[in-house]
Amino acid sequence: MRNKLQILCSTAFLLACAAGRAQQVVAPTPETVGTPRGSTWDDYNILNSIETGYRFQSVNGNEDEYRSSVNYGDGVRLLSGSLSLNSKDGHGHFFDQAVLSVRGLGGDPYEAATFRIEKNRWYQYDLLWRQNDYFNPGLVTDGASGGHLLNTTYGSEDHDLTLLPGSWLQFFLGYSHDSQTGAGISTVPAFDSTSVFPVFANVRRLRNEYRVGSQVRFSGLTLNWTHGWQDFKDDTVTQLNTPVSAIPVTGAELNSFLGPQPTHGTSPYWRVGLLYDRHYFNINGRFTYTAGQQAYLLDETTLGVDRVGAAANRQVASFGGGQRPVATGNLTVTLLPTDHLTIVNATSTYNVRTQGNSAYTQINDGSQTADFVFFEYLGILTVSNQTDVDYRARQWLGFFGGYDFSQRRIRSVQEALSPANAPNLYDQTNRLNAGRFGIRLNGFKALTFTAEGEIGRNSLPFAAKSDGSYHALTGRLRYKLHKLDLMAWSSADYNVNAVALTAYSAHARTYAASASWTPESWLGLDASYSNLHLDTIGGIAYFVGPLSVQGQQSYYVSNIHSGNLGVRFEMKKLASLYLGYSIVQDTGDGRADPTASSVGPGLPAFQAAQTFPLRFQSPIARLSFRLAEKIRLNVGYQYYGYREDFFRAQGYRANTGYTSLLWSF
Amino acid sequence: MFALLAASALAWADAPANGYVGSEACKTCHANIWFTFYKNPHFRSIALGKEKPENTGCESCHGPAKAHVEAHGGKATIVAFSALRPEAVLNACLRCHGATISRANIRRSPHTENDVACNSCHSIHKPQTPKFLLARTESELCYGCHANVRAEFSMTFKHRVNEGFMTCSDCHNPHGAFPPTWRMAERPRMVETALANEEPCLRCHSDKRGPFVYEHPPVRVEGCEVCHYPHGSTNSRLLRRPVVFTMCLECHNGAPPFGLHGTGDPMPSQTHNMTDPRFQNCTNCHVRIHGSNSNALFMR
Repeated sequence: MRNKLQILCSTAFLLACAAGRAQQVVAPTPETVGTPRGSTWDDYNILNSIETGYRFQSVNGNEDEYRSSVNYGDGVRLLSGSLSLNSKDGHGHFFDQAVLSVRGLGGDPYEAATFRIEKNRWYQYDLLWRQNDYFNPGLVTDGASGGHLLNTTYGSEDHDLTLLPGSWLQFFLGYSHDSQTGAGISTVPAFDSTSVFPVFANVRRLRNEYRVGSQVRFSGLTLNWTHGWQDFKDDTVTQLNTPVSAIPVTGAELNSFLGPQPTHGTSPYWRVGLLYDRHYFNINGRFTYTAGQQAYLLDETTLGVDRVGAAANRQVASFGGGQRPVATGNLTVTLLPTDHLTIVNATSTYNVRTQGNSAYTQINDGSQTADFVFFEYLGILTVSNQTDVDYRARQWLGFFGGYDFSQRRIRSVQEALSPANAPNLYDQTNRLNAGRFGIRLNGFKALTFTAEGEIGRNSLPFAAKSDGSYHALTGRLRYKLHKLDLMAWSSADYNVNAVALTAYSAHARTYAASASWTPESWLGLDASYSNLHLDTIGGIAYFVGPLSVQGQQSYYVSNIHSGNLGVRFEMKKLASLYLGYSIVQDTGDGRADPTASSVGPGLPAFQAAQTFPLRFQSPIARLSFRLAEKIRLNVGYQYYGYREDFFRAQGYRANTGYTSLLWSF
Repeated sequence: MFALLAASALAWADAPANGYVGSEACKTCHANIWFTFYKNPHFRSIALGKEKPENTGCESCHGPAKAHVEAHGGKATIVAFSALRPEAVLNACLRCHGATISRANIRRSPHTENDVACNSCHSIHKPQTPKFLLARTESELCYGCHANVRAEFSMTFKHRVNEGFMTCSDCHNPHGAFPPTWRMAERPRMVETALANEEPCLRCHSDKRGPFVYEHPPVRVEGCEVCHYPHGSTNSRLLRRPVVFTMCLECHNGAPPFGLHGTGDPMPSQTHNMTDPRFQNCTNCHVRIHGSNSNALFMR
């Protein structure tokens, strides 16, 4: 009885720790099927598995919110698949290895496929294809087109071919393609200076990148270059299906709108890397130059009623473009004078110049007005130098630290509305000095401890939220022995950016612990717990009606507790059971009423924004039966529960699950 | 046992005299490893048959095995990675893998500083992934030490790492990266860069790259992180605040010396009555907040 109690207590303790590395989504099933040795075909070893099944879901509450964050649906899926062929002697006819894996095909919101085929020393080809569907709840408004209830689809694919891999001379060819389609929003300011109309859009964005390069290695020096071209197109269609009122309500109304706004850009680039590695000396660098440019055209026609109720129309033609050449360089020199000492000096430069011109013509009820923006410029030149030292005083004791100095110059030229006016020039330079120091202890064989601190001072932070006067402390303790891995981690990151007229400070503290234990081959347990605390104060100024409100502060407190737990049982190799639980809970500052704060602005909107208590939890269970050596039957269930304490209408409860066959042939 | 030792001795009999005995001698005792070794990328050194003994097969990593065979095994007579110090593991792997640009900064990486050596993440003989010989799936490996990051990816809104759509190395270089040139000093660390040494976000979110006639300066000067938490957030746009207007107002308060002009980021105009809910979602009107070609206020 006492033993049972001890086991229960031990299990409860480990469950309470919550889970580390368990898989968080219920499907696909991670079990393996078939013989580990695979089968043989013409001097190739073949391993394969396919998991097909049916997903189901049932959502109560805010389904839009569910579709924006989880989005698993119903239907038959190819949940996962893998195929690998390996030449058994390394002398395959056309290839020595081919590996294909797929995930979520057939309608899952997260679909992916990878493929690699290679022949030793001759070629290696890699494909990565991904597609993500999600829903944008921010675009659902009264009167909006039904088309805007569509998912946004983001697709990405990368193809990379290496010729003569591993040899002293290699060649690279690559192609990448990204696309984004779905709902979008744009804004039309029209008819007067205060009337602004929301207009919905069908997003159509494309990116193509082509690259070619090579690498040569001789006398210990590796030289690598890539030349590429990245083309970008945004042919989003903006449309108005039903009349809309101005925001804010001014009485103006937009009845008709047509506004194609294509944007096309290209960014040819060069990238050169070099590396020279010797036992006591290493030098490496990377240098890039990118000549980015983008051109756009706006041809907009609006019809409606202005704020006094008179019919109004407007045509806008705008065209122009931006250029941004970017030149960067990194050079790192590493010295290893002894086996105990590593000294690294790294120098970086970053030079970006953004400039553009925009011609703008507006025809308003027959009277023509025209604006020309002749010159826009934003230039950033950053030079940084860092020296890092890593000293292993003893086998059990090590020190590391470094000093960083960065200087950044920002120049801008603001618009001049006519050639007669001189442009406005702005120039600022800031410097950051930062130092850090760390200690590493690993005296006991299974126990390691590291602690690190960093402090930095920025002479002129660019924004209130930028790193100003900051310090960070981190400590990690780890015990790793055979089947047990315990880790505790703590960090604090404080940033203060107070100036004469306003203040900004951010305090972030994180505590985390994790445990992983595999006492037997049939039992594994992972657990983790994290507490992420953040409190910030930021000076704000705003208007309430005609009154300017100055000298107030925005407060934000986030206190996130996150736990994960995963337990896996293997039952005599006939079945396996996985149980998991994940919870994220932001307890905020503890208040129950969103407008019950005693600090900060009294406006309800500011009060409610000071903290954001919520809970997102997801228990999971999965059972996998071994029907035969090459077939497994799987069933799984995962619950998603989301609740915002202050905005209950956003919450949802979703029951999802699947049943599948995992098989090998 | 006698047969195994005899076979091992026979294989070793033809070995060169410099202490290298060839991988054939190893398979006698380590048959379980040898049996699937042809699937391992390191098998290439054997298949090609052109490498020197010290760069071929088992002994390319574990060193000459003559003494090991003579002693009939034992960790003391061979380079056993389980017994090596982290820096020794690193040196052993870099002997061949050091000539790769993506690993050029490994000696100065935080992983090396914290004794996270190659075999902390890679399992040469028992990999769980066919590519990169990882000991576990990539996210599981990273979460093992970075439990706080796991918490961030467990948030309601996040980049889809747990769902298998993304991996940590889409944005990070676990082998150490060049210092981020778009920021000052070394923060953030170990971040892989996009096209022009820019932040990795722009590799996928290329529509935010521009260049625009009107740039929102913090995007270009400080980078995406000044407004976004890239891992996960309570906001569907991964913003640092649950609502957008407090985040905007915390910078746009008119207080010098911040901003492009050094006179403070401009505060909202008088038309922005903050008691009106329509003004509490700034990006409803300022839709092109990352940059615009035709409107200095990012409204189109």
